[in-house]
Amino acid sequence: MKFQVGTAGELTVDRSLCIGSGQCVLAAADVFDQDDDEGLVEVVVPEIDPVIADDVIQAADGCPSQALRYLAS
Amino acid sequence: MSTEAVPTVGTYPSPKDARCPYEPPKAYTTRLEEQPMLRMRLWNGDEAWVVAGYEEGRMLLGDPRVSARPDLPGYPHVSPALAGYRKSGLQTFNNKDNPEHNVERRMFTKWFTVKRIERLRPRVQDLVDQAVDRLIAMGSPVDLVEHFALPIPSQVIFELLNAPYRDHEIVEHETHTMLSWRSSAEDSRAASQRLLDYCYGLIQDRSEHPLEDDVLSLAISEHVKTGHCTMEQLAEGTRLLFLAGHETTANSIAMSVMALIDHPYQLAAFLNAKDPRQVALAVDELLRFATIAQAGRCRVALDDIEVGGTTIKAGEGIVVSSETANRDPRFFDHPAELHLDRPNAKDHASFGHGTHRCIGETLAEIELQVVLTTLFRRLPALRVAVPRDRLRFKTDHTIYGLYELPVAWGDPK
Repeated sequence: MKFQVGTAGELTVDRSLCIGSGQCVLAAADVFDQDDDEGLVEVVVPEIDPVIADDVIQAADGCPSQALRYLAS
Repeated sequence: MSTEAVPTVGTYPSPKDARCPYEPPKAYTTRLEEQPMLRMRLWNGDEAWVVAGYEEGRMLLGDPRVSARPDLPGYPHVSPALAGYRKSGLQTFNNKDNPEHNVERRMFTKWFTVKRIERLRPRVQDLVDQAVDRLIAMGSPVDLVEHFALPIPSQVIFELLNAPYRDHEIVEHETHTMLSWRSSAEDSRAASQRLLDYCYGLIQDRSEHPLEDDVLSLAISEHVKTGHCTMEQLAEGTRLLFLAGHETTANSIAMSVMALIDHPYQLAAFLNAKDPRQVALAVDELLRFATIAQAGRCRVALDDIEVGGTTIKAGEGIVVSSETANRDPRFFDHPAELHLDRPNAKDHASFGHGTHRCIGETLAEIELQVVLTTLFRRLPALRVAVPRDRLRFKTDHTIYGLYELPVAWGDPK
């Protein structure tokens, strides 16, 4: 799934790669959560506020299994 | 650069300098900046790439062209004991590649989410409070490893799995035999089998008498009965949780306590910290500074891979060292110094990287946060009760740490 981060960039989320490490939740708790059924990443906002783009970038950089990828536009 | 042109530079694992208990062996770090990739010889005559650099290690651990399978030719077996159980065919998901790894790991992922582990904090606090009460009742001096550092994580993992804590000595004994470098391959393999049998008994019982909201019962109903995993895979995964839930956190507690005692000014600042984020950052720095994962993460290249100015060829063994990554001066300023407010401490390499990153990291962090704040607040005059040269460090074990840490204290609070 792809999410626009304003005009700053685009976040791609691939749950099939997620290992539930929760690094994204620690980096950007307003954007990411882990679901109760599998403990895997989910984006909890309909759109990502570009004001917190840095946190989202940190979450993508910190993702150990490349389930999150950020591409600056 | 071809492999033939790279001479080996010693043996992996190399001995630590006994005078520097927090430092990795100098053989890996003396030229880390110029030489982040070392060609080293193993105990059995095999050679492997020892990856000392931070970025190089992270890159390799995240690369799907790198396999964690010990049954592949070229996989580096770094001690007879590790060879003993890794070659036995009894594999947990940390020795499998994707997609198999993710299928098996997902039996457990939902139990280790940040919010679920955070909900365990009050129970961890209860267990730590009780453990400090017991220490005070025993009176100083006392061995902090036996009476505090080991029982707390052991109780936590037994409770997490709803396993009877009366069995803790079985699990602790088999775990130690599996991981000690003094164990023969045969002893390690046999201990691994006994621990697996114990886990199999546990899940067999849970299959007949399921519990509500229980890790093993739900793994059976949601992953085994649905055909995604087998009972054997669940038993192997359970064994991994026991194994990883014991020695690691226990030794981190002992080494962190010693590190704080050795840095009294920073300890004072730590105890005055008002913001939980300061405590969390301090724990990250202690996990970096006193790294206990000394065996390295063993992998084998599935393809030719360029990294750190070197080509690792398909079929060559790779040992990614967390303890040296945590001392990489290109990533951490003055890496041999403890700075509890180090801005990038949370990027330490101690939990690994890639699909095999430690499943229990949040649990370990919370245990350390509660343990260290509680212990030093109640026993502020805690000190090591023997001369330093009497301390026995676990230099002969997959997990570094202390065999005993005799401590004493003044008046408790």
